Amino acid sequence: MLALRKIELESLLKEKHLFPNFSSFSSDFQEKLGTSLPALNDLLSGGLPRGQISEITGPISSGKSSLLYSVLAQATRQREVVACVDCNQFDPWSAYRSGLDLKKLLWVRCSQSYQLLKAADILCNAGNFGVIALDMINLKRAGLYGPDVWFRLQRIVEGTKTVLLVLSVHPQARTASRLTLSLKKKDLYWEGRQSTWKLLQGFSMEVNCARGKRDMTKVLVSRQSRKTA
Amino acid sequence: MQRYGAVYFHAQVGSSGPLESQELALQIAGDFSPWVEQAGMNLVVMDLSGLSRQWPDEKVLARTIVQKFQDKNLLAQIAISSNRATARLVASGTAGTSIILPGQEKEFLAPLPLALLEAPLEIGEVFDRWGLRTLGDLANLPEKALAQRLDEKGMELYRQACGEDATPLLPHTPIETFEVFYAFDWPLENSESLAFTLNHLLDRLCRRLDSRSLVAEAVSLSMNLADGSENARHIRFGFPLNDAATILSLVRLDLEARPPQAAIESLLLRLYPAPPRPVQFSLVEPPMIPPEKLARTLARLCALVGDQNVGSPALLDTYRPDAFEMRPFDLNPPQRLHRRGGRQTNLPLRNAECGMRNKENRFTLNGNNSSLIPHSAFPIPQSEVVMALRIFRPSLQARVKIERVRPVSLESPVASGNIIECGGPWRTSGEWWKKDQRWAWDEWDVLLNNGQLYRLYRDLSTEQWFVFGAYD
Repeated sequence: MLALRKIELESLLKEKHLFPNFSSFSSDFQEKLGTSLPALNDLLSGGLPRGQISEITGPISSGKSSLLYSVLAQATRQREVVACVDCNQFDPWSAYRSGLDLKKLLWVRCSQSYQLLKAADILCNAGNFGVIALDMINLKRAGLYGPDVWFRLQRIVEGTKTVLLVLSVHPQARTASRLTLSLKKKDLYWEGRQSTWKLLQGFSMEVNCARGKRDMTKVLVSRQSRKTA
Repeated sequence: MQRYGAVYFHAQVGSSGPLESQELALQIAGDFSPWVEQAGMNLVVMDLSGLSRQWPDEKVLARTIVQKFQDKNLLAQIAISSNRATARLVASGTAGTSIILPGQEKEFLAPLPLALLEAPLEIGEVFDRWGLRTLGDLANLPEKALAQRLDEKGMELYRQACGEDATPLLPHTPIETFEVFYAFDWPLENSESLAFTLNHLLDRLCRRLDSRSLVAEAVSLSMNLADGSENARHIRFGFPLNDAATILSLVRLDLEARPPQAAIESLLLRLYPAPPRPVQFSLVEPPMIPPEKLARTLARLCALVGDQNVGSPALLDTYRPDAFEMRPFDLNPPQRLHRRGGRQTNLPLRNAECGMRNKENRFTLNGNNSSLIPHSAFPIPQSEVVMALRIFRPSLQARVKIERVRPVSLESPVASGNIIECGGPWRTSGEWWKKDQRWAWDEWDVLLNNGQLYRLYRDLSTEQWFVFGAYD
C-alpha cells in the first residue's frame, strides 16, 4: 500500500517537474563515480553522485583543484570522457601528473564569466560526459547566478551519468547541488631546513561534507613532484 | 574478342601543358570507351571490345581516334591489340597506326627496343649483361632457363615481350566533386529561407556521398551577395559526417556567428569527401558521445568562446613550465600506430624513450602526446592526490621584498602580504640555443600570512618577479 502511494506521488511530482523520484534521494540507489581516494570514498559512501551537481568549495590553496584533477583522472581511468570549463587557469602538467588522460579531456577556456554557465549548459546537453567540471573559483562572491540557472542545469544532468562538479570559493549552486565538499588546508610539508634550503613537498587538506552527509571530516594529503633533469 | 587500343601522344609545341594534355587525352578516349586507363604520362589505354558493330574496320576506328587527338593539338600514334601490354608497347614504339591481329603480337614487338619495358634497374642490368637490345631478343630466350635466373617481375616482362598479358585494365575514375550551385530568382535576405534551401541541397549531396560509401570531412559555402561582394566560409568537422541535419546546424551556427552583410544572390555549396571512420562501440566501456552530437557541441562551444579555446591540451617535449598546445578534441583519431619491440604503442618513439626521474628517484614519463601514454605506464600512485597549480596566464608581475636572499613580502594583483614561509630557489633554465625562447628562472614556493600558497619566479635575465600560479 505504502509502495503504491510512493509510486503515485513520484509520478505526480515528475509530471510537475518538481522533484526527482525518491530513489534518487536515497544514497543506496544512487549511481556513484568512485574516486581513487579511499578516504574520500568513505566520506561520500562510494563516490560522487552521478546525474547531480556536486560542489567543491574552499579558500585559495585549500586543495580544490588537486581534488578535481584526481576525480577527473579517475574518470578517464574508467575510460570516460571528461570536460573542464574554466577561465584558462587549468594546468595540464598537474593534471597529467594526477594521471589524467589528456586526450579524453575537453577543455573549454572562457574569457567572460557568462560563458562559463553557457558552456556548461552546452556540455550537459551533449550527454555522455563522465564528469563536467565547472571552475568558478574566479567568481568573488557567493550565489552570483540565481537558483533558476542551477536548477536548470540540475534538470539537464538528472537521469544521466554525468557528474557536474562545481569548483568555487563560496557555494554557488546551493540547494540545487546534491553534495558540497568544503576543503581546508591543514599542514604543510617541506623538505630540507629553513636555515639552508628547502622545498615545498605538499600539504594535507581537511575535507568536510558540508551538504549531503553532515559531520564527517577526512584528511587527504596532496604531494607535488617537480620536473627534474 | 578482347581488343585494346593504346594511344601514345604528345602535345604540339605551345598548345597545352602535360597535365592539360593528359586530361584532354582521357576525355577523348572516354568518348570511344567507358573503360580508359591512364597507363603513363603520355599514354592512355582503352578497352575497345564490342565496338565491331559500330566500327567494323579497326583501321577506320584507329584513324578516327588519331584525328580526334589531332583536333585537340595532340600528335598521336595508336596500336590496337588483343592484350593491353602489346598495345601499349607498340603504341609507344611504332609511329602511325598499328592494327595487331591475334597471333601477330610477337612479330610487331620483336624490333622494338627493350627500354620500352621500363624494367627495374637490377633486371635491366641483367638484360644488359646478356646483350639484349630488343624485345625480340628477350622473347627468343628459352622460358625455363629464364625462369631459373629471373624473379616473378622478370618473367612478367618476358611474357610482355612475347605478347602475352593477362592483367586487367585499371579504369581511370575521375575525381568527383560534391558541390552544387544554386542561383536565387530574387536575392535572399531571410536566414530561415537560406536554411531551408541549404537543407535541401545538403540532403542531395549527402545522399550522393552515401551512394559512394563516403562521408564529408568539411563543408564550404560561398555566397555571391547583392552588393557585389562574396562571402565564403569553410567549416572542418571534428569527425567525418554524413548527416545533413548535423551539417546544416554547423553551417547555421557559423552563419549566426558571421552573418552575410547583404542579400544572397547565389551560393555554391561543397562537401569534401573522406572515407568513413569506423567506430568500434563496446559493451563494457562507458557509452561514447555520438559523433554527430559531439561535432554539434564542439561547434557551439567554438561559436561561444572561439576555436582556439576549445580542445584537448597536449604537453610539449620541453622543460619549459606550462608548455602545452591545444589540439582539436577528437575521440576517434585516425589510428597511426608504431610497432616497437613487439608491443603496439601509439607513442612517438622519441617520447617513449624520453623520461625523467623525480626527487624520489621514481621514473616518470613526459613528452609530446603524453596523453597517449597508456595507463599502466603511469607512475603516480592512484591513491595520492597530486598537488595542483592554478596558473595565471600570462604570469603576473609582482614586487617582492628580499631579506637575506629570501623573499619576505609580496605585492601583486592577485595576492599581497608577508611571506611567512618559503621554499626555494628551484632554478630552471633551457632552450638557451633559441634567441627568443630561452628562459632562466629561480622559482620560489611561498606561504603568505593569509594562508595562501603561491609559486613565484624571478626572471634571471630581467631580474623581475612574477606570480606563476597558486597552489590549490
